[in-house]
Amino acid sequence: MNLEISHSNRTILRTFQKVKKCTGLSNSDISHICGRVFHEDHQFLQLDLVAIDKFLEYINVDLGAFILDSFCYNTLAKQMKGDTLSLPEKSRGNLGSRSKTINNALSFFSNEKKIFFCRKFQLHQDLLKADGNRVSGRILGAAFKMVKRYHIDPWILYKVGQLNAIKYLDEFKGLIEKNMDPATAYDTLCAHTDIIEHNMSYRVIKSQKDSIIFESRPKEATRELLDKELYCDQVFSENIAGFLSGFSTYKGGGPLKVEQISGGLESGGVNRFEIFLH
Amino acid sequence: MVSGLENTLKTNSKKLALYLKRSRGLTQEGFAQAINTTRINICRIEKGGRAFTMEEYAILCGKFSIDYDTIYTGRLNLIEANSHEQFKMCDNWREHQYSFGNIVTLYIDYFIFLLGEDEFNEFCLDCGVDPLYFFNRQNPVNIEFLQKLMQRLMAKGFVNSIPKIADFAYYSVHQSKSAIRNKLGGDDIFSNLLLIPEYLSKFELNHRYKTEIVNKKDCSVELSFQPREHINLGLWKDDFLIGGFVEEFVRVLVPLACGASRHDSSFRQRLARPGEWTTIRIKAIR
Repeated sequence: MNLEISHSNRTILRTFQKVKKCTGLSNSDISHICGRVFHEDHQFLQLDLVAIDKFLEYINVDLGAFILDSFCYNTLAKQMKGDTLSLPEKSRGNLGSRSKTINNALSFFSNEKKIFFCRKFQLHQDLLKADGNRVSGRILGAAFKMVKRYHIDPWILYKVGQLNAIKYLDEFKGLIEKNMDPATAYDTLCAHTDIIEHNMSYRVIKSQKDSIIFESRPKEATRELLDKELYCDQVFSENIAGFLSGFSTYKGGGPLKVEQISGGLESGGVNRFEIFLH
Repeated sequence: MVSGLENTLKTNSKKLALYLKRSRGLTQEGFAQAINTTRINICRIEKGGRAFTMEEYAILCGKFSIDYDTIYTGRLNLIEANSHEQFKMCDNWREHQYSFGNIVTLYIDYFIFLLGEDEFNEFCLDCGVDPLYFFNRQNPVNIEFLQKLMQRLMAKGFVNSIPKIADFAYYSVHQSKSAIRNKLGGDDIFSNLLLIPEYLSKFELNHRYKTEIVNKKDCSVELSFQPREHINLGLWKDDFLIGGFVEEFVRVLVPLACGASRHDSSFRQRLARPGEWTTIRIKAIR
């Protein structure tokens, strides 16, 4: 057995020391967190992953990011001081997506999976739970990918969007009224989409007697920041379709039927939906 | 009390150790040496008595090019050329191996999501495949295996929820997009397009592929594909789950994964005609 400290071990030890310095934790504190006693730094390497995971959960860092020393120490320090809304630069992005939407998407999964997801992006779970917080659209994309991986049924994704809309209707109080005609209501929604989403711009492109054609288009600034694929994603589209459907409940009735009429990989992220008014 | 996660980490350590040993033909001693530990430690891991240590795992991930998440997900994503030497049990299901991206993986994950891991293990044993083989989700199996997997889902009453293969195609390519680009090698999209047949033939033996330069100045190429002789065309034509997938996959997704735009989608022939080529024209984005 080679007792020499390898390159990867040196990196891990260096990271470990930096984390200790940043958080002010001593070896005995960490021993307590891990549930395993160790005294010297190098003994940290001998802890099994069960113990290591307890420590990583405590500092809210992903295992791979820890081994590669690729996480944000500033965020770590802030989170350890109780600033649960602190976000690393890469998770901030253009702050275009609602964290609550991510939380809704993740509600399909066990708490364990949720924790892993948060650790990947160095997010505190409280940030997802609280209303009004915003994170990078990339995180929303990752959450949707996870949903897609396990819940293929588009109806479920549609429902998530619908529920989101019903939840956010309160924020349109004073802007829309029950007796407003749908075309005006959807126009109002378009004018205030910042309430929901910063990544896309929305507009009503055609208003007919029986239906409204609605378009969502990524903003120029976000197009550069985010993968085009996010906007072409079926999960994303289903979510918007569901949202439009749920939005129609402002009238006090049930949700309207909404169908995506164009979009997908070749649309460049531009999705069109038809809202059936009857 | 043993927590769920503790169990997961121990079980995945066990699977990972057993898989790597078998797929590389290593002894306990050899594997222990490779990750700088002792045989006794490996023995304990294989019995599910403990998880890898931080040191062992960091070395293991570096040495065997393993993703750090493997210990949590229990899913390895490694394209291995010689694993068939170690997994003779799967030979029946590897003839004309069908592994477009990771479509099979997605189906397996879906199967496990719906029916659980025990049911999947039972299914594998019914097919005469060691379930450990699928610890590496990139290990190829043929289309008959995929069909059998779907049939089992149908038999269990999940007919309506079985996603079409084409639905999975997008995710498959999206997930392996960077891998495809790396394999193809360069920043030059035009050269990448010309290399598609070579790339595909490494992973999918059900079709022949070829590319032809249409207009070098315009960076346009024509990608053609044709089913091989062993393919049961009825499967493509009549099976509502499998039909149309290959067409969709090659036509739209592969060029996009290479960073190209599909310039002209007109088909010269349809896939389900024996001996004929299906051709699409692709234009590289500069």
